[in-house]
Amino acid sequence: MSASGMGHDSTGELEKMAMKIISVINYKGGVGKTTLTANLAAELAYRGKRVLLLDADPQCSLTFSFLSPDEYKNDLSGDGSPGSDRTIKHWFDAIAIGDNEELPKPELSELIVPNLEVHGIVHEQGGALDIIPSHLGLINVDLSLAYMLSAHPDRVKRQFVKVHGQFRSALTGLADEANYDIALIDCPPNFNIVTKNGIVASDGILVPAKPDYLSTLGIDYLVRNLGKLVEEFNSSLPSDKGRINPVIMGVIFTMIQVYRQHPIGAQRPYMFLENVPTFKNHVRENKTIFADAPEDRVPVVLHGYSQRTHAGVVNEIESLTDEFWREVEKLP
Amino acid sequence: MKSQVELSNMLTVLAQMVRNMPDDQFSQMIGENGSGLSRRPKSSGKAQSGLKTHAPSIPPALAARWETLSSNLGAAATRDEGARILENAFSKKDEWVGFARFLDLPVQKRDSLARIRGKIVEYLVGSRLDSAAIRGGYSVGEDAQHYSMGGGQTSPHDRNFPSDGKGNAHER
Repeated sequence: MSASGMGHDSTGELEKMAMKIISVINYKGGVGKTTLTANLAAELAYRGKRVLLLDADPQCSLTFSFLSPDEYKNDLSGDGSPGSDRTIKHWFDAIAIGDNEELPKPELSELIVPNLEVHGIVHEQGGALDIIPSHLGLINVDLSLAYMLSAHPDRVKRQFVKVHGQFRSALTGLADEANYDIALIDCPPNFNIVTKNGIVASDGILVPAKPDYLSTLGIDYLVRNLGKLVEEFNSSLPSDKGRINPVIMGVIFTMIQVYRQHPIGAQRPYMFLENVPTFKNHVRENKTIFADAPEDRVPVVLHGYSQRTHAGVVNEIESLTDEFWREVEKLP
Repeated sequence: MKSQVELSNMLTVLAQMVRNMPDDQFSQMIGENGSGLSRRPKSSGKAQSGLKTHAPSIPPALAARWETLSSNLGAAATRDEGARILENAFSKKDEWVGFARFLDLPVQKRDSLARIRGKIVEYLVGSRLDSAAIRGGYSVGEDAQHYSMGGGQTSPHDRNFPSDGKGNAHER
C-alpha cells in the first residue's frame, strides 16, 4: 500500500483502498481523545488523505476544534434558521421518529461540513478534512433509541441489529458514494447506543489513554464491553452474513510527561498492558502548545513553528501517524 | 547593509534569480509539495518518541535470577502468592531497589521495604488480577476466550522500555 492509499489488486492494477472506519474511544474522559483525533486527521489530510470526522460526543469538543461556536449555532445546530440542523443528532432524531414526512431522515452526506482553514493548508496535496458535527442534545437521543429497542419485544434480536446497525448502513453507503480514505468517529466516554453504533460500524478501535491507574482500568472496561457488544450483535444476526469484528488497533498513550526524551518514571509502569496492543509512539503533555490550538480551528500538527519544543511535539504526532497508518493498512 | 539602494539592488537580484529558476528547483525551494511557504518548516533530525534500550551491565547470573523471579510472579494467581514468592527473595534494601528498577518501577529514597515489595506485587500480580476481574473473560488476541479482536493480533510493535537512567531495560 502506498502513502496515497492505493494498493495493487490481484491483477496488478491500482485499486483504491476502501474507506476504513475507526472509532476513537476510552471509558475514561479527559484523556486527550479529541486532541489525538484532530491531529491524526489533520496530518493524514496533509499527507493527501481524504478524512471524514464524525463527532459522536455530545460535548462537541471535536466539532469546536474545527468550527466556531457562532457559525455552528447559526448554521448547523438547528437553533438558528429553520431547517439548519446539520448535526449527527438530527440524523439520529429522524431514525428515532421513524418514517416521517415532517422529519425525513437526511443522508449522512448532507451533514458533512468542510473545514476551510485546514482545507487551505492541505488541498494542494489532494487531502481533505470534513466533519459531521455533534450536538449537546445528542445525549437525549439515547432514550429514544432505547425505546426503539424495547418497543417490539417479539423481535428483540432484529431490533437490536436495526438500532445498533444504523451508522454501519449509512457509512457503508457513504463509503460507496464519497471518496474518503478514512472516517474517524470521536466516541463519548460511555457505551450508550450512539457509541455502540460507532463501534458496530468500525473496522478498527483506537484507544487513547493516559498512563495512570484509572485510565488503564477504563481500557479493561472497554475490552469487556466491546466483547459483549460484538457477541450480542453477531448472535442477533439471522445468518453469518454481516458479522462484525472490529480490531482493537491499540492503545495510544497521551498526555505523557517527558523527562530526557522519555516518559517519567511515575507513568512508565502504566504503559505496559497485558493482552492489549499498544502503540510505540505517544503524545506528550504540553499545555502551552495544545491548550489554545482549537481556537485557531487548525490542529497543532499543521501549525507553523519555530521552537524546538513545538517541533518535538509535531515530530511525535507525525511518527504516530506513520504508525497509525501502518495499522490502518493491516485492517481486514 | 549600508543603504536603501543597496538593499533594493539585492532584492532585485534575488527576484531575478527566482524568476529564472527552473520549475523543479523552485518547487524544491518552497517545499516538497509546493506548499512550504504556507505550512510548517520541516525540521531535520526528528525526535524519536520511541523508547530506546539501554542496559548498564548486570551480572548474567543476577539478571537470570531476576528474570526467573519476575516470571514466577507473573504466574502467581493471587497477591498473597506473589507476596510469598517475594518474601525471602532479597535480604538488603539495595537488592530490592535493584529488582524494582529492573522492572522499571519508580522507587524513591523514602520508600520502605514493605512499600517496594508492595509495588512489585501490585505491578506483576495485582494489575493483572484487576484487569482480568474487570474484563470478565473477554480479552484481545489469540488467547481470547469469547472474542478475538484483530485475528490474533498481539501488538503493533515490540515494546522495549528503558528505565530513567537508573535501572535497566525491561521487556514484559
